[in-house]
Amino acid sequence: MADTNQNSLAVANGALDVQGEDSAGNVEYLQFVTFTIGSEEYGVDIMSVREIKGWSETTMLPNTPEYMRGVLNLRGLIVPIFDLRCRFGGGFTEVTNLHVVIIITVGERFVGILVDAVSDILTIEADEVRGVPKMERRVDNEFLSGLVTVEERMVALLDAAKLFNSKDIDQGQEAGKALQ
Amino acid sequence: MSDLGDFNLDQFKATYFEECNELLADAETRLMSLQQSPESAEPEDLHAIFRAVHSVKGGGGAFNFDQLVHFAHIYEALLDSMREGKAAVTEEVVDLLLSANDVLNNLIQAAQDGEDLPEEAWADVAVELEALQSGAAVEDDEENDENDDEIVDLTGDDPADVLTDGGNGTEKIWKIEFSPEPHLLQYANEPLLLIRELKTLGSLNTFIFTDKLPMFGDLKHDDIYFSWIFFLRTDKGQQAIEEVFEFVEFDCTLTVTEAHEGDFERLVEALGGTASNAGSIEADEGVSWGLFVDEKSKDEIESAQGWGLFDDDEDTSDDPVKSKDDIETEQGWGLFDDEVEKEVSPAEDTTSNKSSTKTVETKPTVPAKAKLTTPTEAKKAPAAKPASGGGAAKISSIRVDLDRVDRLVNMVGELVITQAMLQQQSSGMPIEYAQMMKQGFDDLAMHTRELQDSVMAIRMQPVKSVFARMPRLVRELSGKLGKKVDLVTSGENTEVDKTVVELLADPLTHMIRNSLDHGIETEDERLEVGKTPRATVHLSAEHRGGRIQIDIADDGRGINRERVLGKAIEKGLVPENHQLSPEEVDELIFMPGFSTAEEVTDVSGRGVGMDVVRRNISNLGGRISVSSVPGKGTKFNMSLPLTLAVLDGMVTAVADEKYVIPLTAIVESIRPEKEDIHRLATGGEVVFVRGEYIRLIYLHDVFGIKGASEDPSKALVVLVELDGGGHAGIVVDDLLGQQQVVIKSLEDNYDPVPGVSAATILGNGLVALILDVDGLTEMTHGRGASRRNVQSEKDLLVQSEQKYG
Repeated sequence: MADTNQNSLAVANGALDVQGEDSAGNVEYLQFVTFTIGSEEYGVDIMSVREIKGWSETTMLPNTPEYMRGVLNLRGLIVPIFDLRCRFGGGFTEVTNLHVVIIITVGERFVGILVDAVSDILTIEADEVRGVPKMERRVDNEFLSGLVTVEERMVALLDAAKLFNSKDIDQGQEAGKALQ
Repeated sequence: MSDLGDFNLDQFKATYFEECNELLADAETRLMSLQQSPESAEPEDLHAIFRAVHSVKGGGGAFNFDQLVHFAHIYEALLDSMREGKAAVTEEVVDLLLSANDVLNNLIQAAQDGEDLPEEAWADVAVELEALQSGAAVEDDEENDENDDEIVDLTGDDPADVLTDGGNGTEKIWKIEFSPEPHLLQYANEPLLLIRELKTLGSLNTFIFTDKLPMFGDLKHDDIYFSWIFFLRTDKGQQAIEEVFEFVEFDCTLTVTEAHEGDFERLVEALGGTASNAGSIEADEGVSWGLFVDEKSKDEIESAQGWGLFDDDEDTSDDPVKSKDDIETEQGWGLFDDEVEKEVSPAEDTTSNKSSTKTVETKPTVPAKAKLTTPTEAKKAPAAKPASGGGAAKISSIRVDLDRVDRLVNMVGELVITQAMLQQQSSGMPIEYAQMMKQGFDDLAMHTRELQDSVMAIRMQPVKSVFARMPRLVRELSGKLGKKVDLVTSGENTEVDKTVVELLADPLTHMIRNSLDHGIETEDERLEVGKTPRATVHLSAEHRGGRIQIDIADDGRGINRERVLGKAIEKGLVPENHQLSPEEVDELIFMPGFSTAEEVTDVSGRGVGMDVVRRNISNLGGRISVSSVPGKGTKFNMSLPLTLAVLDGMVTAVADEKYVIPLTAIVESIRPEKEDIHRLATGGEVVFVRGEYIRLIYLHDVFGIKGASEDPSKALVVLVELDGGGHAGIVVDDLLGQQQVVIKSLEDNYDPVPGVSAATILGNGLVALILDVDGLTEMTHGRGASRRNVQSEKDLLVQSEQKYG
């Protein structure tokens, strides 16, 4: 019971300290939902995932960044959808019915991320998480909380809180303000 | 556990405060109606006000709000005298009660904030209340002269004292034979209490007869088997004695006679004792228990009319007391709706005073059969009257958290959308299925609509709660301003969403102040122009066109247009020599920073006036307009949506995107001729409509939508009215129709988007944005030549940087 709590706590906090064992010597496990964008694989904290749904048409919000794909109706909630490929500089995603939206919670907010496909649920030990080397990729490093190797594949773990911090959202506002 | 306890207490407190507010609001309404006609005060009103204050006091006691309880007690005491007719109901008294109500409100507020009010905040009123109350009490004493002149210390009466003439000529010895019917206990009567009551009248000797006590097996636990004979030495009359038995008069056989010499001794002898030893057993409270049974310690006797053996009996005899205690506790909490019960005890007090003229002699003659039925009636009778008064105040309602209602409203909104979606999708079905489904869908549509209406109705509240505050405002202001004003209200029961009701109070107050201060003349001025000395302000509400219309009309001097215009020019709000129509001049009073008051009074503000009102109203999705006839009066009209959760909108299309424009903002929609569209040298375009140049806002341009028609003569221009009173033309591709939409916040999960006020969900399940017309206009303010085909936010930034950088 205590173990589970600690695990979920660690996950919930996104606290990916490289501390594999707690004082009792038990191994801490972390769980992620992994998904693909093109050939790349990413993971988000399973505790933040609310729902996974197929792509459905969104309503464009004016004067917002390109990767902001508009809003959709999630049972009465208006949820903004972000195009992760576009956010990472991989260009605008041409959506098909096969594309998937993962609804995650960031703080109090619900946010949807548009990805190509959901692949798996990944359970790893906390000390398997590797740090992100600096200047590694075109993606701003701060959006990643760590890297993990699974069967020769590399999975980049997303830090949702940083990815959707208000800085990005502010850009949309700036665009609006600029118009004035 | 203690956490849980605290939590519960907080919850109770919250309920208590909520209830206090309701009770006091109700009390105030009743006080207002009293004030209108103090001479014809309805006892029900006084009862209801008393009950309200009493409940507040009781609850306050439970939570140890000492200040609150102290004040409520004083307030309540006066009310009690009033409802008993001891204190007169005059306008001055009602005024005082109103301020007492205010003070009580403040005290409750303070208690809620966990503070104490400084004493001066309430002491004055308390003193006044007490003065009135003590005045009433003196009167009371004079009226009931025979009562309570002498309070005798009754501890340990010597039977000899009881029986020998104390030399005081007025004192008499009464022999009271009291034989209760077996069912006495069932009506919550308690002989011990009667005996104690008797004891307060004088010195008492008591004999209890247990000869009717059955065998244990035959004992019925709620029957009484005893009878008593009391010898009471008192200076009170027979009437006072009989009053003690007021409530049991139909449940017993009672004879009260003057004792003859030797009666006591004879009785004691007959019972096989002596007067002295009968009197030697004395109860603590001074009740002497003359017993013909073996001597018992007083404790045993006291605790057990049932001899301590019959636990059942003892319990029952305790029960009535307990239940009374219970009632008191409940009163104390003020959380329970037992107004009727609460009323019983004071009502009984009242009736006992009034009906004391009845003679005891008739009572024992009531036939035995009748006795069985009458007791209930007799008991109900005194309760019935106040109960009917209480009944009016008793509303069969439940208290529901607003969040829960909102959730329900949301879900029903979803249901409506789902239903619309289903219907749309079914249209593509093969005809034979569609036929079958159609009836079902029609029913579903009807039911969901009905469901939606009923759910919305939950949030609806009559505007009465706001209107009820206005008479007082008018009265106070007219007093302050030295004007005589009557307020006439109508349509108080018009219902509107709770949030709207709450937000109405401020604008209404403001406008009524304004009317009284500026609109209405002084009495002399009125007489001069041949008007009645008393002015009238009409406040009315009605439903019209799915909105609530609130009118405030006065019969004052009307808007002085010359002065308004002069002032506006002086303040630079209007250029000099500018020709304005009378209506336009009237509209000037809504301009920010406008005030014509020659001197700033404490009634009307300092130029923060009607513009604030207009802004408040438009924040609610409403509009306000004014019409005025010089010398005849001014009328303000407010039009507000019935609810803030839904909005009437025009669904418009720009390329593939759909936008909702609030219907309240729309003036008209036109398809202008090409020659009416003019390009300004500074950039931007205007359209010439009926003598007015109106700025065009290309939605596709502002929002960066591709594929929209760019020629306004092919598109449509929706003319909207702006906050400040101007107009703008929003260029869209098409109008798709008028629709009531459920307002959804965009900002719950995203940040505000300029030009968009909220979102909604259309019948196809897709989100549509609701336009913020004023925001849109601001976005285009001072913009240069329109830009086309904006690709992305980056382009926008680059372009605007080029422009402004």
